[in-house]
Amino acid sequence: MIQTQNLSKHFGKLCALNNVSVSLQKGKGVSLIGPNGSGKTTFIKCLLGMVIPDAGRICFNDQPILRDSWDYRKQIGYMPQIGRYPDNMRVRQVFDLMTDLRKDSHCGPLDEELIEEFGLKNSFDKPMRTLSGGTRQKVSACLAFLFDPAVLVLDEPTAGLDPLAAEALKAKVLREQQKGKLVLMTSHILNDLEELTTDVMYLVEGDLLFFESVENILERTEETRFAKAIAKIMAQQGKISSTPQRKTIAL
Amino acid sequence: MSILLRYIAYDILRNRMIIAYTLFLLLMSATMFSIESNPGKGLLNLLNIVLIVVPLVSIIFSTIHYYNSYEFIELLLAQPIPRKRLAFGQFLGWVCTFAGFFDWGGHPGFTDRVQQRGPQSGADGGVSNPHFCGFGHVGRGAHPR
Repeated sequence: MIQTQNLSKHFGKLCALNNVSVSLQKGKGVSLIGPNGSGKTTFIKCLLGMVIPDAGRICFNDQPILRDSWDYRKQIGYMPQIGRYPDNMRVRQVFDLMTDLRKDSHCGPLDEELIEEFGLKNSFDKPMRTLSGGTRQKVSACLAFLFDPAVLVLDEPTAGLDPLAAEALKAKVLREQQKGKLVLMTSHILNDLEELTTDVMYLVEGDLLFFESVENILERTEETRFAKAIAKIMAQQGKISSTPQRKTIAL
Repeated sequence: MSILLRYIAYDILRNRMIIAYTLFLLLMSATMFSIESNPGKGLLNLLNIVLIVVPLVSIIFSTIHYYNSYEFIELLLAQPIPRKRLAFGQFLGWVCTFAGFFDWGGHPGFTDRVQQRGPQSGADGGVSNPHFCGFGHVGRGAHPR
């Protein structure tokens, strides 16, 4: 569904992405994992066309994403890491704005399941500035799922949500995944990712360290739990990067 | 584009700073003619406002508004609309609201006394508003992100 070939992006001297080539398929739950500043968000922004890669290309359903293509975004639901909205807008207006913007590209009913589950209808008349961080996060999540997109891009979806809401969101993600949608998410809370992940993309300083299925990783690390397996890999990685010859070690 | 314009205008209309700015314009244009006996001088004072205050406020306000809605613009960019339409819609949203506030705030000055020259000063402001909102708009391009 989404292919990237030798995707590279530099911000000045900083290398945010370095020759990343992956192929993401329908019905998968892909987790983007890596330390802070390893290029996870940059990768997502490249997919969404907010960051123009220096080199390489991205194909969405075999169509290359060019500088000014926007049509493909009809099939993407995006939940940003930080949800900030215009202060004076009401929750209802944010939803109305999004439905107005996408009404040409979306026909069929809106997916309001998550709005019901979060109980957001009660706060529909509140201005955005009065909402707590968690409620704003809920608004972002609902907006991502609202148009029933084929690809869901979730940047730290459970950060700031209460346990109940986080569970509701995870259940929703799982349901969508079973319907054959591609879910791409990042999170530092590995336990949250455990149930949703089928494949792991591990980035370190812009390099794609591996892109493997969860079964492979569990087998390789001889662990039974996903979180422990990833922690083991991260610890190994930490040891390697603390030695000066880091770049010469083949991984 | 008209959708964006509408929502941005709504957001700005409810902003306290912009309401204070309109009241300031209203007060200025109403008092300028009452303190000056010569309406020509009053108009000159108003012209100073048009030349200094209006550009300043439109630059500062549009820049602040842009930085505050940075994350929201990012979310809008993830929606299926062309970038140009988004940028233009936002720009028009600012310009229309500013021009509206300016006209409303400066109303007494334009209609009072110097009826022949009033419209001219109104037109000056009408021209400077989009320009300086535009500067605020362009300024963001220089931002490294």
